[in-house]
Amino acid sequence: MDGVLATGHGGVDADHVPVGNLVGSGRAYQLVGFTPDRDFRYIEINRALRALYPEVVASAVEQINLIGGRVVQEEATQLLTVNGEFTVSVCIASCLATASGALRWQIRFDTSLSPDVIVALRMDPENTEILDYYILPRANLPAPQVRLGEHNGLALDSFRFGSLDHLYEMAARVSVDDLQ
Amino acid sequence: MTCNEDEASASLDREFRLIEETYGADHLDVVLARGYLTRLVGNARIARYLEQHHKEILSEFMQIVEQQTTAV
Repeated sequence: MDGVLATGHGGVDADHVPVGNLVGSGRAYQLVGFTPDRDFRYIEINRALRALYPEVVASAVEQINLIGGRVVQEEATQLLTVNGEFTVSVCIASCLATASGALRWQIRFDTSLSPDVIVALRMDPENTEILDYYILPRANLPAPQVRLGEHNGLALDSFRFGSLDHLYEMAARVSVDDLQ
Repeated sequence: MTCNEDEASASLDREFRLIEETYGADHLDVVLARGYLTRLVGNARIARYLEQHHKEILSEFMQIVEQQTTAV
């Protein structure tokens, strides 16, 4: 144990392991033979979700462009303005289990941005895969923070989609000639 | 339950399911329509044209556009 920490000759080069990784995986504690009371998995999960966020936003921008829509992405807030007509805020709703085992998802968005549409990604119970998407008009939300359960009734679950295709359709443009 | 009540209840169920199918998409369409109108009346030339030739329509449009800012 001494060798591991002091010189790194015990197979682990302590000098070259980023501290963040050590803390995140709880490995620092494992290495010194200490079992923390707290569960550190959430740190890793949060990191993965933070990494997922720009991926989701970038892919949405790409898809909207592909379908012929025009998107402006605000760098600081990540708010998307589509076709100069409506704004979209993406949020990732991680999954939490209550003490009784019921699943909950918290939707949060910045009210000061006043997005017209909130896109919430519900994660699976392991918080590794996207379960489904809620494409919600802000006007239909009762509050800036909404806690979703597995079933939420017509007023919310009508906005539940298996993909973001509906959002892309909303961004699609139709030539006036095609309407006649 | 009488036969008529059964029918009425079945008909209500059908209506409810119809609403359920389109409820989400309809509300999202309202967002789009409002956004489009906001941009339309935000165009000074279009607003002026409507003001001169279709005043009632412009005032209806303005009401829809203003709903957007008051909705929480």
